[in-house]
Amino acid sequence: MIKKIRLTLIFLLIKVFIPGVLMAQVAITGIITDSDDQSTLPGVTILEKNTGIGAITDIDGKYNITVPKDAVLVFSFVGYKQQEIPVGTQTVINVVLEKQIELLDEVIVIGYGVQKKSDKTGAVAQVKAEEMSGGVITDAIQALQGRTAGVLITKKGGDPNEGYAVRIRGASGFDSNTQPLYVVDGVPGVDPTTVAPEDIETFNILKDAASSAIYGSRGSNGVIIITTKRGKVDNFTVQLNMKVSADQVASKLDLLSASDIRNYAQGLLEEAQIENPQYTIDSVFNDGGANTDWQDEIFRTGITQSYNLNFSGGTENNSYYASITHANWEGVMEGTSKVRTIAKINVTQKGLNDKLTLSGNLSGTFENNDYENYDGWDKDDILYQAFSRNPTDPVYNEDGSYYETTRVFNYQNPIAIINEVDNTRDAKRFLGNLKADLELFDGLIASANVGYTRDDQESYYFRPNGLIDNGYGKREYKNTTQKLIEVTGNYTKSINEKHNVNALLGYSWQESVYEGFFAQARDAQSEYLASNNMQALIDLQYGDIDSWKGMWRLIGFFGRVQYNYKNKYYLSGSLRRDGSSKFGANNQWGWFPTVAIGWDLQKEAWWSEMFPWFDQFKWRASYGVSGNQEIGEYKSQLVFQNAGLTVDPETGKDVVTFTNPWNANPDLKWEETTEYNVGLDFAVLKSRVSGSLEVYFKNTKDLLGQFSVPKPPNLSDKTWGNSGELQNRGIELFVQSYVIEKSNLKWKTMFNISHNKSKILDLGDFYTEGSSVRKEGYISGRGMVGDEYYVIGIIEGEELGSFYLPVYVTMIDGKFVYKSETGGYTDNLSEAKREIVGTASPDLEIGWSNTFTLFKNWDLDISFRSMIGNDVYNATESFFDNPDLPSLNASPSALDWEEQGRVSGSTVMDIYVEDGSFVRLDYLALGYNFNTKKIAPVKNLKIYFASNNLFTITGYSGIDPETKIDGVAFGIDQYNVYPKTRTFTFGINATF
Amino acid sequence: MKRIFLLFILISLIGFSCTDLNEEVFENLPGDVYPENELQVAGLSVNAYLGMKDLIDDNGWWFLAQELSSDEFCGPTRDADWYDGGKWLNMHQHTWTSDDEGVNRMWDKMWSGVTICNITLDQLRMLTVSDAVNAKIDEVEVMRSFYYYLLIDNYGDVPYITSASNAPEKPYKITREAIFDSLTTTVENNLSSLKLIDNKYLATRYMAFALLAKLYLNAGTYTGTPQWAKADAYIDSVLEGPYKLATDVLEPFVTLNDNSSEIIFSIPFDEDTYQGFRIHMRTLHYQHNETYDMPVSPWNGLCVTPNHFDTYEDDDVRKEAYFIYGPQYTSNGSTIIDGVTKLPLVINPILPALYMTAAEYTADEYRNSGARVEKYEIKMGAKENLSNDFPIFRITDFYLMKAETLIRLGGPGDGDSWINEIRDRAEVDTWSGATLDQLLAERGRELFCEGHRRQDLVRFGKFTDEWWAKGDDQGGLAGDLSVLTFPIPKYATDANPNLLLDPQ
Repeated sequence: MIKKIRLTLIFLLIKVFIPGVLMAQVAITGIITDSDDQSTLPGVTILEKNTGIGAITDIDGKYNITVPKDAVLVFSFVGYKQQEIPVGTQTVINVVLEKQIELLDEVIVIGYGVQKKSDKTGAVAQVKAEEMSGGVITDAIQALQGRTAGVLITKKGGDPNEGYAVRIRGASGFDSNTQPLYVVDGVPGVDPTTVAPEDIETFNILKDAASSAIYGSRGSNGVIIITTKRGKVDNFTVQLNMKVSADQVASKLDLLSASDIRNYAQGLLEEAQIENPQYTIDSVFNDGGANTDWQDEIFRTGITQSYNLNFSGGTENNSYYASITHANWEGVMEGTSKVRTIAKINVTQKGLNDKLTLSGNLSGTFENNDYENYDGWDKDDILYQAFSRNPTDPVYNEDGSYYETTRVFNYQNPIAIINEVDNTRDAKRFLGNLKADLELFDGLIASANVGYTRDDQESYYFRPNGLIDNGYGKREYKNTTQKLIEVTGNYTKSINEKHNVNALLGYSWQESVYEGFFAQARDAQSEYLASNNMQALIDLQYGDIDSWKGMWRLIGFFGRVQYNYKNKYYLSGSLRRDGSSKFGANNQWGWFPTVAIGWDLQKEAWWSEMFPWFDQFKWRASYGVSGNQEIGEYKSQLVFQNAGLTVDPETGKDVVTFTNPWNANPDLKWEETTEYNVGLDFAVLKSRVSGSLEVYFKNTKDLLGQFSVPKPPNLSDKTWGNSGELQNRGIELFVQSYVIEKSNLKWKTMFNISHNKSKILDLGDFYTEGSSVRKEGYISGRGMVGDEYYVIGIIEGEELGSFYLPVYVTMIDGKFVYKSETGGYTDNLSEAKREIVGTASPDLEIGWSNTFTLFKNWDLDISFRSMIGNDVYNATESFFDNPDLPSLNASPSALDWEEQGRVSGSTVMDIYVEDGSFVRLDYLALGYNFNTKKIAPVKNLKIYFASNNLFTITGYSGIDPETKIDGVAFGIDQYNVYPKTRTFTFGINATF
Repeated sequence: MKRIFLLFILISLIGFSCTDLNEEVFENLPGDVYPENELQVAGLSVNAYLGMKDLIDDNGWWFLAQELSSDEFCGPTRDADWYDGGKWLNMHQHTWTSDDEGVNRMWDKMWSGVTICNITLDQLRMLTVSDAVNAKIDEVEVMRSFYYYLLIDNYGDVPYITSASNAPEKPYKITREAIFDSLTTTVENNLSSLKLIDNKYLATRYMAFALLAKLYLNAGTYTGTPQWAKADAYIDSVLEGPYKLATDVLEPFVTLNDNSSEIIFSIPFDEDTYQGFRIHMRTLHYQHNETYDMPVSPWNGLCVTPNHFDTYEDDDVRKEAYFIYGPQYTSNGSTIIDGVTKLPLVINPILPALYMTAAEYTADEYRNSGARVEKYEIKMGAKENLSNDFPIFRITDFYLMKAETLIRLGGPGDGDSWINEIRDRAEVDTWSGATLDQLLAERGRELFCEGHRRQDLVRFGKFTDEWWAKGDDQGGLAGDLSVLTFPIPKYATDANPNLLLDPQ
């Protein structure tokens, strides 16, 4: 390496001192071939080093280029080892390129450091830019979906404004947040939506506690480290990535049509006429006179555009990468969209004879969202109103105004809401960090990292007078400021190339301060002024203006030692002492130790003789304790909260009173996860097939949450505390293979499969009052209000996410009959016996992605994703099969129920649990790489067609079987599933 | 090595100087700061009254439970609406369990009232002793006695706790009789420091007289031994106060009833700032917003039982004043067309059943039957919450209580003059020789929907009788004495099994 640099320096010097015009130019030709099968290689890039002059081999692998005699030619081709050849006196340079499968030399990023992949002792997975998913990507994390074992990335429906839930190895808590910690370029706690997928170099996922516990307090849900792209030495590059997509609704809800409703009304009339012959159709049904498919009215084809322009480059001493990414996602539901612009720059500068490295990173994210409500069954909930609205009702009156009628309580024209209500958000986020690495002496690097993030959000809402009430407006502003200071010392030493040691010592300080305020008012006087001038809203009450502010602080001391003997035997351990301001005075600080061992059998002579076809066969085992502190602030303290305005009876004047929302708990402490992981890393056939197998056992105790306590003697009936215990066990397999490596056909495939089982060992204090289980997943809607309408039971000894429901037996006199508590049968829901009838957690998660290169210029990507064994509670069906005909629309099954004489209203019971297993063609893309020889400044040009979610195979009857898997209540489809989309994308990637 | 050492020193230095984990509180008052000024100290007793506003609607259920469990009011199931797991039906048919919403929430909010009084008392007792502070303590103790009065009235034997900080973790029940004694003693002892003024929102001496009158009137229920004479004496003390009958029967119930001549003690409500009174939302038809120009659509639910509706004579001014029935009009006088039947909206006081589904009843029946309540004025433009104050103690009630003690101490006819003042005002014939049964019926008519009916029926021994849609083949329970009090909720007995033991 040093030699190479010296050579380069010599050439540089020659170039500087001897002007180029004096150098004789030579025409060079040659053929490039593959070392394996001697086939010729078209599309190989030949560059004169340190210049932009270059050529590309033709279809026969031939090239010609004219360069000065002193030039050095660089031959590079994806998947092959790069070669550099000085021209000298040669005129024909034939090159044999060797395939390069560098797996074992790849570097992975672990907390506060990097490590050779072959040296890892923990469950760390890496996904590189070229392995990510493409097409319409609304958040960077989506690019990771289905790519790694044990990382479940889910989202309900296809709303561009809806975020993803990430669950690593079944992490879950009662009131604690269990999303993983994101570390972006060394800054923990960054919102990953502020990173453009195009800017990402790698994702590194720390899955086991031994790996994640270096982040101590926030490690127990796993850590996702995002590293963004940096400039490369001597390679000035401009890249333009553009794509445009059309999004369609992949699947609509099956509902009755206007003519179905009319037929039904006709039937009603005929029945009624037996007793009342004078009746006409108007006596039984109010026909709106139209044929409206309300889903077609609220859905559309959404157009998404995305542009990414970046340039990068560098010299020996500095490098830079700058990019701007702009995307506009138009949701398939009218009135929903997201526009995001991310601008970013990374710079690195070396100094002090390369002993000092300064790196800086600055990025700004600007996001505008346009929202519609669809979560409930209120007047402004678009999906409920569209699904239930009578298809004979027209959208507009003849004069163009919205058609409104009052068939039932909460009946509203959804198009009017979409068009007349303004519900938007404007977010601005900045991240800046500066890092200095100083090599104090050989092997010891001291680093300081200072980071600052600022998140500003403004929300705007306006509903005009007369739409559903007298109008309402709201403005809200909030911001969060986070500061980070980290100091580390990292020492690497190799003694006689036998004993390899890396030691890390560090300190981390992080503080977050958030504040905000809002104002709201009713009785809107001006549609024009709307909420832009809130003095146009008259009705202002106490509480309509509010503000808040809070903070938390985290401090950690940590150390880690990694040792290996001849890269054969590995031992590593780490310890972190973490303090969080969120916890009680008695328990603010916690210890988080880890230890891990590894043994690469391949390095043992006896093994490699027996199994010469293995390239790696490494066992490793780890143990670690990590924590979770993701609850709100001040939960350990006794605080008095504003309880609203009241009249002082004595003076007759208004006074504000205060109550304590929870009791003080000085013992409040870390939620603690202990995890054991055993893994095997293997590579065979010259590393053409490689992979990892992981088995883990994870126990989370002292779960954080709020539970009920008796009010006398306590001041409040709520306390935040630690209670209960949860267990996750699982197995993960990841395999990647370069299946075919021919010049005209290459096929790389990556497959992962994982299984996780979450079990409640101890419910602690988290049972629902008056019950031995914790009731979760309450369904709410018309006729379904009350304590009985829950579908999920969290029960000791049972799996998390279990559907715990009354069992339907039959129907008697139109009433649903369930098995009863006493062993008999009952039609009273509250007397029904509940049983576990399914679980929302999948048994298996599978991802399979493939990249084909055909005839050198064509790329084909195919990725499948699947969940097996996840049940879904179809509450949507339970609402729409309840015959409320002909006033409201219903699902076709409502007619069957009606025929059977059903009188029972909507209920919760086992028959609504459906198997939500699915296989989805997540991503399909076909790209063509142009021969850029003739379009000089262009280095690479690729056009492609892609599709996301081309099809989904599932037995599930609702809109989409995929639900957001997060927290303890999930897997419920309650007329709030924004349709998943099927998208078609056309894109161009050009490199100059 | 030196440099390693230096680095270590550096990290340690930064580390030890930055280990401050103090959690700064901004938006709330830390426990050691509150109360921070005189105003907040004065405001402390306000909390004692705060809990009352939850008693009326479904936050605390007291009012709903008193009325719905009686013979005068009900919450019928109207097809898909108002079944809600059976909580409305159970209340009317006396089939509640220890896990019904009403049973749970009433217990919760009444204890909230007691607890907040105890917390307030603990805080007041930490302040420097002065006459003003002592008077505040007495006042808050009377308010606590009021919440306990509701607790023993509805639940019978309960724990009796007089401090929040010194409360046992798992308290035991004590007998209703013992609590009755403590309450009467406490209130009587505190009488002298209470203000003898007319303030409807304060525990005044008149409010205390009224509370004592109610306690002694129901002494038979609470202790097994009636104390009519004592009740009579405290009723007299109330009657001697500055309260008199208004000429208009609706005067105490208008939107701005703060200065009503009849009200002794009330829960203040305000549509914006002090919410919790929504009877109009629960009773009015979905489209009655057109009548009252309301910005929100009501929920078409609660209504008068047909038998109670029938107890009013046609001439009785209270019938027109209290109820909504017959054809309904918008605020500009045009007919309201029902959204489903497409026919003019006519509210029929004859409610066909308590449980009505579309399968068995017409839309007109399940949507539009049962007379609605407008005893509490629904002003034009009323919002989701009313601004009318809810009278807890009102002088008319004490007229009829006076009549009752006179009849009970003497005999039929002894209460005539007090009853006839009420009947006179209602423009119905006066009585002579009125009996207890007549008196109870008159209480029903006059005090309809004021939260007295359950207690009255219990005192008169009629709570377990069969009535409309309750008992016999109509479903529900009649003749079961266990319903005279509500069960202690399951969630409470689960948390504290001592509550299941016999009182100590």
